[in-house]
Amino acid sequence: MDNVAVKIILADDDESDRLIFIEAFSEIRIKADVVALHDGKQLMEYLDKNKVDLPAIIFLDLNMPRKTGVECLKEIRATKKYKSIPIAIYSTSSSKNDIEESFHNGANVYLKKPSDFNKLKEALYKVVSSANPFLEPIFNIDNFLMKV
Amino acid sequence: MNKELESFAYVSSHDLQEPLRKIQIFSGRILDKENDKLSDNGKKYFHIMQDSANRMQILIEDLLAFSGLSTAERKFEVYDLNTVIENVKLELKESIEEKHAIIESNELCTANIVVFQFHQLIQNLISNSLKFTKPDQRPHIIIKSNIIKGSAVKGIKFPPDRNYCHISLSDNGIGFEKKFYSKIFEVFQKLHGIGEYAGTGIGLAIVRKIVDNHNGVITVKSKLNKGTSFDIYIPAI
Repeated sequence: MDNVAVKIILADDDESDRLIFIEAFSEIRIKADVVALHDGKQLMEYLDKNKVDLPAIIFLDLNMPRKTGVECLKEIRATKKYKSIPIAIYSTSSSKNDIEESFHNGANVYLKKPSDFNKLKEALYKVVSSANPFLEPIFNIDNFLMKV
Repeated sequence: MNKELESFAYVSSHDLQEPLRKIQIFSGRILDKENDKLSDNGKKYFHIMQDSANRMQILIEDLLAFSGLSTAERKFEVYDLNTVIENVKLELKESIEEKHAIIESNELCTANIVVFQFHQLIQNLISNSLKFTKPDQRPHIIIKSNIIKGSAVKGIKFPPDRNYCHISLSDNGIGFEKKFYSKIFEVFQKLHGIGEYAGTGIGLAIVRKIVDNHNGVITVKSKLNKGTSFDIYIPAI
């Protein structure tokens, strides 16, 4: 992760959230190449077009027009080529339903969008820097929601 | 609040959080990045905005907790109230130590309760007692319980032969006047101005809701500058 930029995809229909996400990565000590997409449909199309250059991680908003986060999640987990891409849910919601649904459909970590920029930076750093943090054996629904 | 209003509160609270988060994060960005361009007044105004937004966040979270009480699953189990008290004390350890509070409880009974709700109930009551204290006096909270016959409860029409678990919690805090007895259990009712005591005025509404969920009754007695005591009656096992 030292010199090569990590490719990170964000799918979020909210413009200001995309803005603050990119800004956060510009201030984190991780060289990241952030691709910000506007909805789930765009995300799936992008993946299909860039099969040889898959991202290190996808940040997925849940509530999006055309294709929701959970729909993307199901599709990605059902596609052999994309199956192993780590997926971080990135949502305003912290409702039990949303957390459970994304957990059961194979998301790796659930990040509730923080309301503080520094906390956002910390959380993004944590998600991206730990090598396969979500594949640890103790991974279960109780530590699925990231504490920020 | 009726059922429709509660579910409305639940759904809308989620939606309300989103614009609020933007206000918080972007006003924070201005204070961080544009700080040297702001006058002292400008900074002050941004801090006021942030404080208000943070307060609103707590309000929304409280409202969510409150409305969630009616939608959440209720699993009753026979449980030792002493354990509830011990766990709450553990959770409030910091403020108990900070205020040098004494919390006294005798052997409490075992009751049929939704454990996490009862934990919240006790926590809200003790938190209140720790909050509304007199500056010159060490907070002293006494928790007692006993089994009482319906006919022996004064002022409430219970089936006379039914047994009730009576839990009382009293403190030596600032208390309040009798005319506020019913008001304190309503949502967003505060007896003090913003800034005097922290909080959103939802704690006791949650308490009453939980008692309702247990088919119980809660009453309060208080005297200004003397203290407050709550009596809770829930059907005994």
